[in-house]
Amino acid sequence: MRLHLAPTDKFKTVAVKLFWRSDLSAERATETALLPYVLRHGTRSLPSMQAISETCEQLFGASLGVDVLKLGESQVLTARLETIGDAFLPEGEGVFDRGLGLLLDLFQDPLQEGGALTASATAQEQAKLERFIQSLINDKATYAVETCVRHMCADEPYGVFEYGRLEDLPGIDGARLEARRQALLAEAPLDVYVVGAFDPARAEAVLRERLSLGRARVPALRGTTGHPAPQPVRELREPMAVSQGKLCMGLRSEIRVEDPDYWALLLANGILGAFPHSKLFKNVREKAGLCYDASSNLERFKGLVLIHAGIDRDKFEQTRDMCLEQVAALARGEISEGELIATRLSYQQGLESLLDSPSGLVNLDYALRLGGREGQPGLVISELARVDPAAIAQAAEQLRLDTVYFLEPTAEPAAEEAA
Amino acid sequence: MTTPLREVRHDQLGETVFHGALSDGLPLAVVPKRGFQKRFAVLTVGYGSLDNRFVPAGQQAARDLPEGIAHFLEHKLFEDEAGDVFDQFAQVGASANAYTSANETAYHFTANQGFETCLKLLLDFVTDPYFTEEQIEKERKVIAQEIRMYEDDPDTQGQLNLMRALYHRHPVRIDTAGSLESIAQIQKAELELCHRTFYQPANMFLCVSGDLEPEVVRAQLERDLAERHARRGVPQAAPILRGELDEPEEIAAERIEVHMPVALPKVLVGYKGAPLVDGPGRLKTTLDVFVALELLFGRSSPFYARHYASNLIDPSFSYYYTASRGGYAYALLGGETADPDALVAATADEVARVLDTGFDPQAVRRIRNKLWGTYLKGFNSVEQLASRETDAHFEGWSLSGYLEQLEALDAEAVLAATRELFAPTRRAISVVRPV
Repeated sequence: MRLHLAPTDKFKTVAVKLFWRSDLSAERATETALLPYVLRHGTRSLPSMQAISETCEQLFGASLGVDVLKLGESQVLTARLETIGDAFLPEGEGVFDRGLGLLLDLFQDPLQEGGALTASATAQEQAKLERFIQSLINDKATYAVETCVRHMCADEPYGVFEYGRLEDLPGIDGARLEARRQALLAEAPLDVYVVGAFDPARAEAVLRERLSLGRARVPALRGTTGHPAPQPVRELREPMAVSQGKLCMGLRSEIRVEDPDYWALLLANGILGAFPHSKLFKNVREKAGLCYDASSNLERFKGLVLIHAGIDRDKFEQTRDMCLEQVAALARGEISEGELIATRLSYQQGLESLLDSPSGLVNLDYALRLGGREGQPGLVISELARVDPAAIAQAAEQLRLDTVYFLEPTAEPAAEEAA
Repeated sequence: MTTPLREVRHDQLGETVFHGALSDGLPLAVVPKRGFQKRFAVLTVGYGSLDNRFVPAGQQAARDLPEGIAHFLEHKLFEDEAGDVFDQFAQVGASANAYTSANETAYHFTANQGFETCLKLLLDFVTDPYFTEEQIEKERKVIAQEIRMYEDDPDTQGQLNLMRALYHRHPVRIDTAGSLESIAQIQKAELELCHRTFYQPANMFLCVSGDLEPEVVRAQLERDLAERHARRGVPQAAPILRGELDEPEEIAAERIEVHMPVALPKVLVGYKGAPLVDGPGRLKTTLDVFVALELLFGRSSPFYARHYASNLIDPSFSYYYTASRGGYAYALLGGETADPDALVAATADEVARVLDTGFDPQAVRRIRNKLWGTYLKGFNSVEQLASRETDAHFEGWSLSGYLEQLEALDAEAVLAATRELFAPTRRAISVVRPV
């Protein structure tokens, strides 16, 4: 367990965040995703979601949440608590100890029956997760990106959806979830963060006492795998009754967060499509008027760049080519002084701004540590300042287009009928 | 003549807000946040998608403007004589953006460095329009894609249909961005007319928050203002005459259903309330209804527990109430469900049950605790602070007034607000079903 404590009087709140990391795999993803939501159903002392919600309200709106994340090919189970700092409460009131106790109880003292998590909570959350997976299609932009990634990384762990697969849901029961809970608590690398208005000595004592219990030696994890051998570009189209098409393109890079060239790749993605001054926004939206949104995202652990734009059906080829031309221009070193300055400063601003947000700081620190780096914004800013345009062009030059996906409108508008 | 800013201290919270106005009448607030990196500014214009009918200055008759013109104007202002305004913010690493809502158009930026440059730029580009025919045509294409994007968003469509069911004529029923047909009609002269009419200092509000000295900010704003007036003259103030609204109390349609590519049906239930007048009364009623919604349908309610367990609802279930100064008020609730009709019936049953039993004063205090904590959390964020000050300005309440109203919450008043709002005859339903 790694414990990170950052007491400060800058915030009115105190935020606690827990991360349990495991290898993302098709076999385990669904039960790992289901587990925290079943745990959310109750503890021995607060044995229902309703009781937990009432308690959180009473504790001046303590927020308590669980989720799963995909960071490279790791599946990370997270839980967070945010309460008002005791110093800001009316005289005699205190909520942090109770909130922290509740957060830990969710994982360490869950409601059980016969040594398993309850059948009722398991069944309810199976139904919810089934809906959640099915409803991915409701948000067309997210659906397009997920579908592109699923095809592109079909034979790699990265192609696994972090919320799992529909077909695995029926086979999961309370006993299997309990086994998973125990395995994660005993073996999964755990990071604990506390940021804000709290007493560090007391928090450390509680956290060490409760979270060190029953920890076995942590086995080495597989982590994120390399790319498969290059193959010809895949182009996929999926017709759907939508107004706007969604283009998503996946590119691969050999550069990852732990590599020396990582900062050059980050800047390359920034100049390409992370900001309104980036090449994609300027050219595809502002100059050509092809779309409302055009952007690119860097997946730092696997080394993927995903380009996305929402466009008309008949603009597919034009937009695809124009987006790829922006990548090519970057690789040719066509980087203006203005683009470079704006991108460096925009990252700097984003990084400095994390200092204003308890959760922002925690997420950056966790992600960079996962990549074997220090997580302070100031260090990242000085790394970015050292990268020259030639290195950025080189990083862009290494990007290889892998998959082009187009969610294609069938040109049948949705009908409206008054009932 | 300029006067210093007025200091309002909130001792219990350890926070201070400075209020005042510039010499041209622009009201402003400064919320200092020592030790914060972000410096945030938002300039809000009291002009939104509702305001497409008004009497132009010097004329007699009200004129109808194309739907979506406030939003089109917002997009267009991001171009000035020097080119793309985004680029000018980006040169100091700042990020800028804007949004248009029913009542407001807001322009904002975050700048850790170069705050002074950005603040001048914000006031310049918002108050000094620069339109070319070519850029208007290009923007028409971009906005068309934005409209298409929202056409595919089931939540947006579900909500728009609910507004069409609740309202006969009130412009809250139109899409903020307009339609492909309406934006095709928008011309340069109309954009200029709307800007001249609504972008007047007294109809705007500036709020800045961050590690800033209030009087330094004010002094800079006055210098920039003098420079702007010297450059392009002092704009003439003119009264804003909005068109009359003529909206019946009754709903327009009981139900609207559409089919879209979604996994499960989505249902929204809306209750049309009576519009509220400005002032503290609006805030009081709003808080009463918030508490009622939490107790009726919130995460700790018997309704949520029962129907979450039966799978009639899922975590997408949510609720909302607004009492807009644009002359409308409604509550809505709903989410994804396999059985829209059963969910509609269950919500109605719950309202009826609570009207019969009343609210537990202990439970009201619990929700008050939650609202108090949520309010305090807002002080962690310069954006939330500024947004709250802006709401308070336009709606005529104050931050300390908010806390007083919270303290005064009372189960009987919450019940009365519930009885008033949740009338079965003013209920409409919007359903989005899978294709």
